[in-house]
Amino acid sequence: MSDTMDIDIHRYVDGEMTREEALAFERRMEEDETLATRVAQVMTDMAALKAAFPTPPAGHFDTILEAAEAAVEAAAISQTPARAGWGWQQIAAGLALLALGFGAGNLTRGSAPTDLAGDVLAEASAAHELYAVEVVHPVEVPASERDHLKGWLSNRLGAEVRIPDLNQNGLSLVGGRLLPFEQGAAAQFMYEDGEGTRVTLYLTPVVDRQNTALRHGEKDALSMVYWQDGAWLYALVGPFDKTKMTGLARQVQGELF
Amino acid sequence: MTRFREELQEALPSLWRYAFALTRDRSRADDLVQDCAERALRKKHLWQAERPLRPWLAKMALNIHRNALRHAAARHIHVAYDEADLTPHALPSAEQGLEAAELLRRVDALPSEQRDVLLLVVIDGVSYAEAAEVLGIPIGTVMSRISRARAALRQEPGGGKPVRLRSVT
Repeated sequence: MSDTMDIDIHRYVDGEMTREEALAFERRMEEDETLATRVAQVMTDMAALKAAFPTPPAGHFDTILEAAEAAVEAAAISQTPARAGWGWQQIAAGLALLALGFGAGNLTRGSAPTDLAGDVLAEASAAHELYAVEVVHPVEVPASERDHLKGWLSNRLGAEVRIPDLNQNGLSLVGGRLLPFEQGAAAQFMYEDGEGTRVTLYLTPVVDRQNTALRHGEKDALSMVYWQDGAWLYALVGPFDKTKMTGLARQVQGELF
Repeated sequence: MTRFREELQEALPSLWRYAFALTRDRSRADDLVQDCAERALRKKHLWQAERPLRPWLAKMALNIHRNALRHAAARHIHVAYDEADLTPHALPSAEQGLEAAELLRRVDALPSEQRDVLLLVVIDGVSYAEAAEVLGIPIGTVMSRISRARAALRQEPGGGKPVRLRSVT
């Protein structure tokens, strides 16, 4: 079989021929049984290949598109300065949409959204405000017992917890603590710079696996960057500006990877 | 509804199937499609209305997927070929052609440059010219790779090989 003939088979099957070319090719098939058989084989193989992959129901794509739009909108709002309070809730709503599962059989469209991301934001900032000012007991387990801290929190959160190293960003680990979150638990790691300014990383495992981009929010004097990486939702809270917080978040992402 | 959104919406089912073909996992396909949709929405000012959206999305999906594989490889994670995720109704009957699981094993065994072209054209449904643009190769190369990929799928497997795990390391 010549190469040209072979290429024609594929151009025919893939709809690459003009109408005239296709008609001429069909006439050739009528006269050439080998050619016709080859075309039929390719077509059945490709039908089988297409059938081997599932197709979700149409509503599934609406859900994905709406979540994408919410995320883009949330990111746009977070880039608009000086709308604290309002932007915060918008972002939380967008993230909550993101946090919904999109797996087959898990189409939550129409049901009440769980405001999971919003809750994480609220808890993370509240925990930061509560403990970052603490002088005597800022953490439950100090950085000197790092291995114990890691093992303990991994046990309590039910998945391996990694403690990012932010020394190259001028932040040393103070320690960590276990916190309640909804029906489960969350961990908080605290870091501080040479001047005693503190940054906390709040993390909690979630059921619906997702990966999201970094998103930024402001609340009073606090700046927060949050994202989801697989089964973990993270929120980094601190009094630094957005650029510095985003840089720190990237460092955390790199460390956790 | 804007025209851009309409086009995006229309492109999502085939993009999802392509994403599933790349990842073999429903939730990863969801993630990949959403990721592409987000990027497309953020960059829609770069889109020229007379150009089809589908190849642009396919290119994003392929790039994001390749990056994810590189990260996974760096972490020595093996991505298992997930047969359990194939819905029973989606499986073709025996007389329709090669059995689905066997067919997918052969697709996995293809050299990646052939697999990329095959999945783009057959699953995502882009034209040869669009596939050439997505992959940055001449259209003649698209045709020869399609041809070689299909010939390889037809070849009998080399005896009783064990079920293949797709290693990305």
